[in-house]
Amino acid sequence: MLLKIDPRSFQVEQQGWDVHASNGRTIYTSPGLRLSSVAELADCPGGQAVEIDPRERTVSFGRDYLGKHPLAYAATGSRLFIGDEVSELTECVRADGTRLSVSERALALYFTAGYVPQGMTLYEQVHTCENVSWYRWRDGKVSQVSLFEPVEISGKQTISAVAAGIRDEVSRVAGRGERVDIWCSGGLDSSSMAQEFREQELPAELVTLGYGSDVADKFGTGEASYAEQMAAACDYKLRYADLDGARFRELHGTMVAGHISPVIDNCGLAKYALASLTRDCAVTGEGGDPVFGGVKNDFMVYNHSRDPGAPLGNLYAIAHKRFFGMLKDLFRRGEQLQDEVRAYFQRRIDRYPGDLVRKLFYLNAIDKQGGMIFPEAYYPAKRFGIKVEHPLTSLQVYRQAFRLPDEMRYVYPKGKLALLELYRDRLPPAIIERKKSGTIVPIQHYVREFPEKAFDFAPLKSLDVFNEKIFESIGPAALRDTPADQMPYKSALLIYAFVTLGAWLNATGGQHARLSA
Amino acid sequence: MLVYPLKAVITTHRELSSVYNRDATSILLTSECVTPDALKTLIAQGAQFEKIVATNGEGEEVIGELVMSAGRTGVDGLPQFERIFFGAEDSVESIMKQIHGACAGDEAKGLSSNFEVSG
Repeated sequence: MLLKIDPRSFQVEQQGWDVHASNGRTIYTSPGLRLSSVAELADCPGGQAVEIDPRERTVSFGRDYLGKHPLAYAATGSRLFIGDEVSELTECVRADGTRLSVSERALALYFTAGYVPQGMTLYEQVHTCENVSWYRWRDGKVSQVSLFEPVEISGKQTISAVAAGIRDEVSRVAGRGERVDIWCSGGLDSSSMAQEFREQELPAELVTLGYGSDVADKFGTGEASYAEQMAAACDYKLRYADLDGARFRELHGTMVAGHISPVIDNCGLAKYALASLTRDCAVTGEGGDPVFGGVKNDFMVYNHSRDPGAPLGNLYAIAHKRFFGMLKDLFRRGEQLQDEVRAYFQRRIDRYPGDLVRKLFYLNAIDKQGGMIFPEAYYPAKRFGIKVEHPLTSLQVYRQAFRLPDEMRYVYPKGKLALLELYRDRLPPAIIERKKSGTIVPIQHYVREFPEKAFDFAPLKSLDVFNEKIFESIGPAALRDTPADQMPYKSALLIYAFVTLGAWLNATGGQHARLSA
Repeated sequence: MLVYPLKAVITTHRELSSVYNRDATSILLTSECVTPDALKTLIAQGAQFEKIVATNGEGEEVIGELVMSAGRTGVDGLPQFERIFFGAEDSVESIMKQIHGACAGDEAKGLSSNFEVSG
């Protein structure tokens, strides 16, 4: 979907949007969505919308409240571009005669968080739209309007109300009559989705991540045995999306060619593999973690209790467990960038109400899902022509879950308490009792699949932002010298981070970019 | 809310405790040195550790009690146990490296993705 708007004449070129006229205004929506104003995005469960009002000389736009459907924009002097594909927007910007520039701060956030947070891209000229917001263009300037409404905790709220919300969402998805494949890792969240379908006697199959024998021999088969147990318990067919070396190479190319930003979370790649095998509609367990738990909660709560005066922005940057501590080694201006990253996260934390745990729930459900989790499903689904649904984080379930007192969802160091209460007696004991592992993608093996040209870091070096020395430790020699099963995970991840960054910049016209002033 | 280190290191070695508890890697691992008595108190208060690292045989009695009680109620919630031995000639840095390796476990080997994912 792409809209090109001439702000003088308000003439529009568009592709992929549904068009509706309303009182002299024109509303463009993602296919199938019906809104009479972008203000209705506050209650919109999924979709994107643009409202053009030539009389007021304004363009308003945004995405659904939680941000399941990404949207981005670029305003040059002569045109406003709005669409869901960042690579198309960068092309528009360049065709309009504007040179792209790379944001050093966005790069630092990429290495800290593993993705570029919503509200920005790696390019200064192109911005993603934040969720819980809409945007207004007027007189060449874009302003952001917050739609964020805190959810009031209710002492009367029950877990059964949350359960009803999940059930309703599963029924709604199944009611469309599409062939449903549940992306099931065998973890609590995705297994609960399989169980919901089974209990409602709905047809479905399970799809899980598989590995080639080259990976399995060295690193095992990940969570496959749990997915197999779940398939047997539900009597659903289980299919494997194999991610062997050749498939990794192919899907990495697909991902960097069009993902909203480079991502160091290699689970993103796993989702491309799952999407490629999905028939019509994927159902995921996304939301189980951000809405009911949160992987950073323990680290944050523990360290905050040790030193209540420690700046939370700093702790939150560290909590991502990527390369925040190494920014000094990666970047020439590493120390200043660390300060900027700390300040960025502090602002994000400050914008949410409540105590630390409440703030973390909002950060997980809004910032992290809108910036990383949802795009990681949206783009693979789009590339492979399927739909994707996340019943555990539907707008209704999010609101029901946030009405619960926080201690019904998380008490240090235990999360997902409400989900455990809901599913403890309904899922196989092995699924309930297993330790959370995260999707296992042995990146030490896969980085060896990158072709030699992927290690041409000349375009990255030419940005003049990185310390030259770092490129010595991430080249092919580093891979030759250390066998995959002896390579520290973090070393492989750093190689993956740089190769993915370079490939994404190349795919989006970044080889011609310069560093922003 | 009871908050405690998820990976407890049992020791009465003061210098080790002092350096270890301020170390960035320890903080990242939510790990801290505690005395056997402090560990006993935390367990009595309901703490559920992910891992307990016993050093030079300290805390074996507490570990024994935990295992015994698990024998009565099942192994759910039982932490992983590691044992580390060091001598007077070992530097605090080398001991810490050994403990961090034990605490990191699968993360250090790279088998756990250590990623923030759901599903």
